Amino acid sequence: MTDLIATHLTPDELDDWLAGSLARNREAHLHGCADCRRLADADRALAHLLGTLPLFSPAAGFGDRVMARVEVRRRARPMAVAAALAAGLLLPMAASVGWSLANPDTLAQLLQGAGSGISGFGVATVRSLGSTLLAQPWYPWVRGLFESPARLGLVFGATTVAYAGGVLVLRRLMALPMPRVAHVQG
Amino acid sequence: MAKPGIDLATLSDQDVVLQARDGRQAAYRELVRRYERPIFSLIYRMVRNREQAEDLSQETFVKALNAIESYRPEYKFSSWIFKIANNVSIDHLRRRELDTLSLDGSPHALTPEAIQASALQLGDRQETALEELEAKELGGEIEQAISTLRPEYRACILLRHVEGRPYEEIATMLDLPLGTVKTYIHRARGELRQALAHLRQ
Repeated sequence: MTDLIATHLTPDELDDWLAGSLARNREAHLHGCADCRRLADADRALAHLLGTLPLFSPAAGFGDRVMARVEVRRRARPMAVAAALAAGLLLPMAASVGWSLANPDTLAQLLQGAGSGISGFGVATVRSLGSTLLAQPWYPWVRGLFESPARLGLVFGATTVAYAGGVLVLRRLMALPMPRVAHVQG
Repeated sequence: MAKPGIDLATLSDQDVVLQARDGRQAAYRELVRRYERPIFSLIYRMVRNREQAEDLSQETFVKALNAIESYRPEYKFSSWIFKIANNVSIDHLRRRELDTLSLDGSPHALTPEAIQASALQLGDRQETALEELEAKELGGEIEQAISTLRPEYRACILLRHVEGRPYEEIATMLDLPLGTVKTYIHRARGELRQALAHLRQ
């Protein structure tokens, strides 16, 4: 405590004194130390002088000159965007439902026709793909891999390792050093 | 145009910014009205040239208002615009320092005529009305003393004691560590105390 009372005020403590928040034991030092008192008084006078400096005004029409170079933009309001999206989705849906209710027979015919057409196309595609696959020269070899549990496990393990390796490589590639984002610059 | 019934002058900065983001030109004007004097004063004291201070103040507002969407309302608008103003001033001072000609003439001048033509002519210049105004405005002892400070010290001391900003805010504005801001301000005060010592005696 004695040491603290004997030590001169630090710049931070001078700030505290200017702000009226200097610790009591340091106040005691200030009262007894002519050097610190002189420094504190000078700082107070300086702060007062700086605080009374006038503000200057730019030339008349400053605001107009600024506004001539500012692009005033109207921000899209979230509610308006949501309403537009809702209208864009709901109106066609409502029209579709309305038409369906008014024309149930036509709708049923259309659905039936479309359903049979789609299913016929699907079956033909699957058959074609199946026969093409069976005709491939490597098909028996691939099929052989799935004939014993040991081979199946080996294939599964190798596939998993290859997949994990690929993911790791991709992550590595995607984690290239990013440029630093600049602060709002003057 | 402001919404009928909304008096922009009574709104907080944050609310005026929201109005500006809604495309209300009056809100932009209100922000200019609130900050034109503090921003101009800071820049003027930094660059000590009225014409350049006007240009740089305009640049500050144009940058801030054209990027109003990127302003984050959790920070004070004043900190944001003062930060832009300080960056604009410091950049200008750095450029000016690079552009300053030697008193003996441009280093790029190769012939004696070119050297003479580019040399600063001392003594034969007429003081313009603008320069007279500057001399009057910045001619006081305290203003002269501020002008002798390093630009970093000057910015810190002006923001602290003229604008009354807390240390933490100054550190944020100037992208400096808090300790550095305190050191700059203490050193600036020391230099100003010394420069103005004769006034106290």
